[in-house]
Amino acid sequence: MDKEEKDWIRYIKEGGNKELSFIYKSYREEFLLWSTSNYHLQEETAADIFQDAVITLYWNVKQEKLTELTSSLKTYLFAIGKNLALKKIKKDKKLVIDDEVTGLNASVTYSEMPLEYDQRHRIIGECVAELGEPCCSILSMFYFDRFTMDSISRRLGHKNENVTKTQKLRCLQKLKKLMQKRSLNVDEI
Amino acid sequence: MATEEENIELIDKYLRQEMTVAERTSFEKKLAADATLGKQLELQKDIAKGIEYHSLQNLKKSLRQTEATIGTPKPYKLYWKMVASFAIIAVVGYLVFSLTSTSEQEIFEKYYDVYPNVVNPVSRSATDVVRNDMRLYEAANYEEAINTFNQQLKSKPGNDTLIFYLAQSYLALDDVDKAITNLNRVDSTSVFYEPAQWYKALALLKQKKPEKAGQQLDEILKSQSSYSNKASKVKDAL
Repeated sequence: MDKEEKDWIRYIKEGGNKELSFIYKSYREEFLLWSTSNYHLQEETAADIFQDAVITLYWNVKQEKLTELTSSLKTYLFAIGKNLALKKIKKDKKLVIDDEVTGLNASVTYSEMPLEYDQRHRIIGECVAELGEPCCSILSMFYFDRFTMDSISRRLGHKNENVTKTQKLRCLQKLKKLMQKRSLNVDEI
Repeated sequence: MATEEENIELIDKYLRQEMTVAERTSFEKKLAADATLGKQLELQKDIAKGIEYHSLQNLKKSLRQTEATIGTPKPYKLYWKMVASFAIIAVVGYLVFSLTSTSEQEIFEKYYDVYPNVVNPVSRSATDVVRNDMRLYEAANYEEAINTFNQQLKSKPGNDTLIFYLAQSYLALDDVDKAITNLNRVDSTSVFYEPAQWYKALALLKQKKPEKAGQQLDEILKSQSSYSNKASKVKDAL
């Protein structure tokens, strides 16, 4: 694996959507060719699966479950994509596929991205969207991207961390009010 | 007794695993003794989970948009695209025909507000240093603010905050062409991307280009941006 590939973990950790989009574009065509010919998937389904594979990679990096690549980025992504494709096929009960047929690296380990969220969390997510900017980004950068306050402060062009901290607290208060409006209990759980 | 804010800070540190062993032990002791703190912890966990859900949805949305720009068009898709194009042409033709310049201006005035200074609000404690460019912006001294933004952009050419507020300043001065040029420069990864898209729609209305404004509003609606509600209302008004 070359040095640049190793750096992807850092790029993803410090970056955002732009990196994700770049990775998606870089390997999409190859994955689509491979999955449509091996698993006879429709192109749209294959693209949907590959999007989930790229997001799984991103999620694993952000959750610090993936701190170093032991294979190439492509192998890692294709291994996730393969598992997701097999799950999809199994779910649709379309085909019975021998796992060994494709000859991909099965030793790649990763944590599955949560796909199911309960109603309460989905409503909270909707309230976050309703918050608008800059709250949406501040909360997302802190709780999802796990950026430090200093990093968020620099990204938003704030003068110092205290400004960001205050704004984050205000955003949380605003979020709790929206949650209350949606009849979510924010005092007792 | 700790305030709610202090508790939130502690909980965040705990959940992000940024505590030392001693801090963690002390926090867990507090947690066992303080039921309110326990409830706050559960709430904070739920909020973090909700934010995770929202963020993953956004990532998926963003990759779907990427796919839409590079996906191979299929014959049946082309057919529907042609049908859609004719429909759009018909709708646009109708809009151009039926809308008067007054109504566009009215809609613009109804929905346009100068974007607030969220970067460095002036009304803060006296000890904080306020950025000069944002002070000028907040004081509605847009000519001076534009000079300052442009000056800074020479050393930070891609800075999205500067570009966004530069565009806002031009729009406030009715220099719509320059406002749109700069709004177009706000990258899709920027925190100002969604407001930039919204202000572009308004700027197009100001330019009396209802068909382009309509397309821009459709983009906002498609992207499920936080401006979707407003975009939908403007679409109805059009």
